[in-house]
Amino acid sequence: MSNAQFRWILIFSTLLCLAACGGRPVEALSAAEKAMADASLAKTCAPDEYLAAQKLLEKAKSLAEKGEHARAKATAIAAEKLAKKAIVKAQARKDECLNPQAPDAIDAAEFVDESGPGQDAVDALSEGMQIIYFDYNQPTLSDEAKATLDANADWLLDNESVTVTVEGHCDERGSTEYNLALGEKRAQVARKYLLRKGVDKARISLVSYGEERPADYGAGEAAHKRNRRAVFRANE
Amino acid sequence: MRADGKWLFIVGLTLTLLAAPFVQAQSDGTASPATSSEGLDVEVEQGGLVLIQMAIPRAINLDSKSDTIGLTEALSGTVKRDLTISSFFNILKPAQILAKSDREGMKPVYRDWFNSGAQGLIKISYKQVGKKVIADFRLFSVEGSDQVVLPKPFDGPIRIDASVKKLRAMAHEFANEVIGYYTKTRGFFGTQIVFVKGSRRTKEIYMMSADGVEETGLTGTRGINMLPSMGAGRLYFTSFRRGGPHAFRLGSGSTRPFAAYPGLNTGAVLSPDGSSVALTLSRDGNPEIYLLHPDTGKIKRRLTNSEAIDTSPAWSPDGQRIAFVSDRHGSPQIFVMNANGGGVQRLTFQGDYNQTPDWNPKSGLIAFTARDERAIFDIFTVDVGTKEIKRLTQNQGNNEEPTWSPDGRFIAFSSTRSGTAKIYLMDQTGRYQHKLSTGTGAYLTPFWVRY
Repeated sequence: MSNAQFRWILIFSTLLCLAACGGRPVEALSAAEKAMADASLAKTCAPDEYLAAQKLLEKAKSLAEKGEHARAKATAIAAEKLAKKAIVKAQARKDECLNPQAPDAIDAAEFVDESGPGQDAVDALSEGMQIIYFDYNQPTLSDEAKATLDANADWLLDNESVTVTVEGHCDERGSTEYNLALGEKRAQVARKYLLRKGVDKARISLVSYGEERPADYGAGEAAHKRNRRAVFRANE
Repeated sequence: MRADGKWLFIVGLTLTLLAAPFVQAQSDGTASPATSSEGLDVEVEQGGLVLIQMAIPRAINLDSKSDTIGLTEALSGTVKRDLTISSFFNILKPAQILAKSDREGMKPVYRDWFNSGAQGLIKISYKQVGKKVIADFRLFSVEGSDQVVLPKPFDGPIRIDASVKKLRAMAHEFANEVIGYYTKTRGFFGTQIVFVKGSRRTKEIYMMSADGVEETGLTGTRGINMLPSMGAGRLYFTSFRRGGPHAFRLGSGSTRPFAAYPGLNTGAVLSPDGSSVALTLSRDGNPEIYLLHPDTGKIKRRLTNSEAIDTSPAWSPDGQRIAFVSDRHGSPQIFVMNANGGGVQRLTFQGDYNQTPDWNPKSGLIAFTARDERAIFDIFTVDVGTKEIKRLTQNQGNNEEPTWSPDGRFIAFSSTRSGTAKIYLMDQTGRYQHKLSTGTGAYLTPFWVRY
């Protein structure tokens, strides 16, 4: 096969896939693979995040195999994000983790762990279910959130033994108490949607964390966006 | 003068809520002296308040025994800090004072104080007798060359237990009397403010004296504890320590879950007569305001009934009405209702994000937090009768969660004007602004204990 022929086949197959099946998420998967390759330092210095990201990437690949491209893409993006977080965290604690003998360094490492971006890693580990995001001061579901909830409902229907806690969260703006109420509303709206999809009521519980457990401690709009969310946590 | 112009501008602002122009609306509690050639300096704070010129020399130790536990600081130091915070006085600096306070003792040489620029003079002396301190607090009118007669117990020397705490408590009482003498209303010193101190992972409930010192931690659970309120000596707060969020009560040493209904149990606050606790529950499917029995936590009554969020109840001083937040018309706004849930009235119509009402204990003003079109949070008041809105803070970071002082003349609130959130104090016009908290960390949701 000539080089030109090969290129044509590649373009054709890509187009076919885009048109027919929403596309095997090649880009998302390779971005995640690249992020994992870049995260070699994180293997030692941020092992929790690194392993979680690796797990997510494997899952994304297996989803892609099964042709579940939308979920594969979402999972791959989550894997990439987490790998990047692992890199940032590994860089921050590089000195301590490469010289674990220094007693001061151990304290410093603990400090980093305490205040570092741990929540996202925990969020991303919500088994089989993806996070949904909300607009500012709104408890209503976007089309994107509904699509994610459809996938979450499917997963819950496939995994009958799992019970889930829906956590409602808000960004840091607004009062403590109002945000607890808003987080409650968000969790309720997500639960209602899952119930309509046929998930048994008894399997879903709620908790609102208001603005108390952000995924991102930053202050800008990007951070706020990541924090206005509902997380679906499989109960142990 | 310049200050008057600013004052007029603030009045103008109150007419046009959320007016965009950026002006430096507040001074930072600093005073600009306008000296005269007479013996007396008339000091005028920005905004036109005339300050009383007050001299507070160090308390005189009548003993040969030296002051080893900080008695002097607990007496004259406390009075000095209180009167400084009160906003009504300019305290003369030691370098301005020509009089020899220690030498003259409790009989002032008025001419020397007059020539120092003082209008009022506070003198305190003390001696230790066993485990007691005998303290003598006196206020003098320098202009009238006479001692001011104050009510009991300040009509003569007082015996107090020789502890810094007890001495400070008496000094606060004296400061309140002095403020009452000059302004017709006693001060708020000696009262407490409860608040949340937060780091990234933990939030704990603290208490401080209203002069910003004597901070004490009340929870210490390394968890998330929020929304403290206090009445009849009991602390109510909201915590995730057992899932929740649940309402907890701390009184006589033990902390117990007070309300743990399914869903939210947030922002419990005791009524002025102690007969009910108002709080937000979501047990019936969405956040609503309820009244609970103050001891058992049993539901007495559900007050709101809407599909929307109803939260943040705040009692009127007579306990007959409750201000609250609801987004039943699309955005969070301030409402009032009767304490039985009837007579609901919407109070705010401007802006689309009004929260955290707190009812003035002496009037029909409700202070609240509003977000303006720049997404900045500031403090406003709304008059329950006329619904007139006034803006109190502007262009000084985010200012949130107002709480009125027990005398109704001041508001404590959380502000990010100096970076991390701290507790500030202002008068009800917003002209006087003063940083109250003195520690490190983020200070959130202050609640001034009023009954």
